[in-house]
This record gives sequence, structure tokens and C-alpha cells, in this order.
Amino acid sequence: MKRAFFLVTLMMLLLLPAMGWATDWYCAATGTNGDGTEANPWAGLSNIDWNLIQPGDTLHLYRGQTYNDQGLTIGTGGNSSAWITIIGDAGAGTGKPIINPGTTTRYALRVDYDYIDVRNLQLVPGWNGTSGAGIKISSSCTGKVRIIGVDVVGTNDKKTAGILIGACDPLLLIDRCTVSGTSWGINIADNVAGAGTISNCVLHDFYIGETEDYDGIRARYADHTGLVIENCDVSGFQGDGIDLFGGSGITVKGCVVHDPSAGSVQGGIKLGGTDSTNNVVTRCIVYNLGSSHPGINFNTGSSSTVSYCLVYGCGNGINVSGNDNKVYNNTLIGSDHGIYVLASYTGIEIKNNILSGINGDLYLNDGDNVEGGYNCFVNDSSVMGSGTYTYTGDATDLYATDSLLTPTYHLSHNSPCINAGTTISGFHETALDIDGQPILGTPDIGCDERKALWWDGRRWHMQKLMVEYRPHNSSVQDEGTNDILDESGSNILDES
Amino acid sequence: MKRILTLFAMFFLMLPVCVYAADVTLTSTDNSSWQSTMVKVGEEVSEIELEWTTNASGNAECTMQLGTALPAGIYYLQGKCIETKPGSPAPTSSYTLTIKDSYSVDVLNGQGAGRSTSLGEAIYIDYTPISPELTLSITGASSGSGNKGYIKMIIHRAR
Repeated sequence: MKRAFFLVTLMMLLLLPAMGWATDWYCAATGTNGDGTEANPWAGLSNIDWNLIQPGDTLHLYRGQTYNDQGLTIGTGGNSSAWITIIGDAGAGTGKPIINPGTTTRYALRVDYDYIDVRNLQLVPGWNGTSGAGIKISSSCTGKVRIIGVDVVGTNDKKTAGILIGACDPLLLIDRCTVSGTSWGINIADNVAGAGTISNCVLHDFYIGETEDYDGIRARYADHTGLVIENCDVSGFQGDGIDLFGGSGITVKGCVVHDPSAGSVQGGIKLGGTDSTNNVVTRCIVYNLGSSHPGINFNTGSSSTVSYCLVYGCGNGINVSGNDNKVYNNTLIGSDHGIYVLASYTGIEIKNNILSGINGDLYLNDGDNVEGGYNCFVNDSSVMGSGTYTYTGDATDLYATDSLLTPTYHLSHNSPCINAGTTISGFHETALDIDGQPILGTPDIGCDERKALWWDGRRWHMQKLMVEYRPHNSSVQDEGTNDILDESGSNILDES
Repeated sequence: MKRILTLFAMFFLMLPVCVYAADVTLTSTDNSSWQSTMVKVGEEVSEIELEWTTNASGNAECTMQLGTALPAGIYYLQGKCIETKPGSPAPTSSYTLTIKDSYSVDVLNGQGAGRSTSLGEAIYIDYTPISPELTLSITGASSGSGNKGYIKMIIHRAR
């Protein structure tokens, strides 16, 4: 018994160092340099002793303080069960800690290690005389990194990037971050493959003093199977809002791309490249790109699907090229063609779409082979084209003088598009409309499935109505206040 | 009568804001469903008012789950979107409000400190995306239980 007790005690003593204890470390922007404890924090990012920080530890930066001695270059990594967290939550100050390295460091935050979790910081991109960025996740790690609630605020006067990603992994998460005043937004380096999630990010007001092909979000020239770009708002960009050229296996859902800069704009969401395949764009809104820029562009990519999207105020709603692409249940209010199919592509399906606008037609070119049907052509729009093309399904297309949409492009109660679509096997079973509602019974035409009430197995949900769009950075809004009006026009916020 | 009861049941089932705590209650349901008369296509706003009552430690806490019955989207705070005011009996000492997201980050970034025991006050927030799950905490409002106050939140949801 005595022996057993001794052995157990010995084992516990041996295991203790391996178990470790999470330690909180602290770094202030200035002051007397200490030992990294809360009572005596390190002073300045250059004084952080990374040798002391172990997996599971947390490094706290102080709210309301500005760190400008250098960028935050993370000097160690965690492990799969013990991430290292860097968080801006210490002290009694207000506002996120600001890291502004100036010209001392190229990146305000550099991550070379895995299992790093960074939260709640504001970063000003560094500058090495040529370029700089807010965040660099380097190829020295494998992309097991989380960046949450970090704002990159560029100075709007030089070529910088918001977030540069040199490695992808299913554990990569960029969530609730904002980027402004830089040239690029979030940029996965070309040819870097892998999965990850970019969600709930707002990218706006980019610097347009450069004329290169800058994009809001970029994931190109690689197999990105499992990469999800979700619920992001991209505006004020040049190049493309979201550029997936040469990328494959990417899902873009719930994103809003709108109001680009006055710079060299290409389009809203670009798929494409001959190596690009199996991409999905769904439940996105693209608008106000101007009459010469397509909302969504397949751009020779193949076997991809665009569905339940709303495009208005653009040139062509959707440009289709590449083989075996599917275009289902979109609402396209174009100032040019609703859908434009470039020449000599086959295996294309275009069904259940509303095409409306000045030339809101479906335009085909020589050699195209398109399976259509159940599209609603509004106000004299129709299937048009040049050369010899094949379009089947026209007997089921709907022609209407008015699709009876609400001012926000949802179906009115008396729209002819209600229950007028066709069920596409393998698609509608799991599809959600632009409001996130499931498709019950015969689908409606367009991006909105109108149901007064629907039941998800647990509770009833009410059909939502939408109203006029006002971007968050619109000049219509007051400084520091919101004008939020109810249906009677009264401000629901008490300004008194 | 049966129909009225059914309608009542449906109304409560549709409330998208769930609050879990003994010392905080959802006091205003008038605007607690997502309203879409407001800001932009694909954007809705929810105004939520909570009444809190201090526990024996002089604190109150609750977890809110936004949008459990609604599709995903960007939830965010912006502008004059948080208001605090005392209830009756009022807090006896200046208190701190924190609203932490699912990663334990205070989205108010410390601006909830020093809340008045007698005045209604607003907190202005720069554009701040938040997680759908929030933990609201009141600390230091009194030395004991039973003191009350209110929090009004305007939360945007865009998708």
C-alpha cells in the first residue's frame, strides 16, 4: 500500500510539469519594464520575453494604449490543446489597444507559429519603405491561427494590405475583423492552398492611389476546398470585391459587395480561371458597381454554382463562361444583360431566375448550349443572342410585365413568381433563400422564397421584409449616432 | 380562446432573443424581434431592453443568444447603441457594465465603467461586429441584492 502510494505520488510529480498551468502575461505600451506580471508588466512590445510564454498562456495588452516601439511579432506557438492567446483587454482604459509600428516593422502583427489566437486589437500597418500590412500570417506556420475582432486601419496614403495569409488550414479563422485605408483587404497568397474561414468581416474605403489589381478579399490559383467566406461586407474597393480566380472548392455565402471605389474596378465576385472548379456563391448581394462591371463573373471557371443571389445596379448581372456551371434562383436587376453567356460553353443550366432591368435579358452567343426554363423575364426582356446557340426549356419560361417585387426586391404577395419555379434535385433539398429560409414545396422564382410563416421543426418563423440599403459608411449617417427610423419615420433612438 | 392561446404561443416562440439568467429579465418585448424597417437591404435592427437586479454580491449577469431562430449574418453595434439607466431601488454605487462576446472580449472596450446611479447614459460604439452570443455583466452596483437597473441595446444584423 505504502509502495503504491509512493508510485502514484511520483507519477503525479512527474506529470505536473507536462500539465502546466496557464499564465497571464501583461505588456504595457510604455513605462518601467517589469517581469510581465500584472503588477509589473513588460513595457513595450520589444520587451516581451517570449521564452516565458508557454502553450495555454495569455498575453494581455492594455486598452486605450498605443504601442509604437515596434510591431507585435509573435515569438512562440501553442499546441492543439493549448493555444496561446493575445488579447487587448487589460487595464481600465477604453478602446482597443493600438499597435502602430510606423517604419520600425513591416507588419503590425506577424504570426510565424501555429495555435495562436489574437483578439481585440487595432492595427496600423507597418511600412518598410516599399510595402507593409496590418497582419502577416506567414508560411512559417501552417495556418492554425485565429484572428478575431481586430481592426486594421490604414493611413490611406500608401500601398499596404490588411491581412496577408501565407498558410491555410481548417482551423484558420478570420472573424469580425475590419479593414480600411489599405490597398488590399484580406489576401491569401497566390498558390497557397487549403481551407479556413473568413467570416463577419467588413472591408471598406480602400486606398486607391495605386493602380494594380487590388481586391477586397482574394483567394487565387489554388485548391481551397473547405474555404468559406461568409457574411462579409466589401465596399470601396478597386479590382474585384471578392476575387477567386484560379481558386477551387470555395464557398462564398451571405456576403455583400457594393459601392466600389472610383479606381480601377473589375467586378463584384469573380470566380474563374480554367483551373477553377467547384466553387459556390450563394445568398450574396452585389450592387452599385456601375454599368460596365458585372456583379458575378464565372470567368471560365467550371462546375460551379451561383444561387439565391441578388444583383442590381451593375452591368451584366452574371457573366457566365466555362462549362457545366449552374445559375439557379437569382434576382438580377441589371442595367445591361441580366445573364450574359460567352461563346461556346456547354452544360450550363440557368433556371428559376428573375431577369429584369433595362436590358434584363439572357444573352447567348455562338456555340452555347444552355438548359434553361422557369426563368421570369420582366418587361420585354427575353432570351436573345447572336450566332447559333441552343436554349432548351423556353416553354416553361415566364414573361411578365412586372414581377411585382417589393422595393427591396422581395416577392410581393401577388407576384407571378411565387411557386412558379422548378425543383432541382440535389439542390433545393438543402438550399436556403437569400434570407436564409429553407425552400418548402415548389420553389419560387428568384432569390426570395416567399412564405408567410415556416416551421423549422422547433418553431415558427416569420417572413421578413427588407428596406432601403444604407451602407454603414454612408454619409447619410451622423457622426457617432444612428438615425434609425420606424415605419412612421420616427427615430427609434431617443436622441434627447 | 384556443386560437388566441395559439397566437400567443407563436408570438413567444418567434422571439429571437433568448436570455439566460435569474437576475436579468427581458423587460420589453415590443422590439425584441428583428425589425426590418430600418437601415438597409439585408439589414435589420433589434432593440432589446433588459432589467437587471443585483444578486447578493451586488452583481448581475446574463447570457443572451441572438438570432437562434434566424439566419446567420453580421451582428454589430454602431453609434449610440447602448443605454443604461437606474431602476428602483437604484444602484447604490457607480457600477460597470461589460458585454463580452463568445471569446470573452468586452465589446464595449471598457466604456461601460462608471455608470451613473441616478442618470440615464448612452454609450457610443464604433462599428463593432459582435458574436451572436453575448454575456452581459453588471458589477459593483451595490453591496447586496435587490437593486435594479435597465440596459437598452440596439443591435444591427446585416447579411
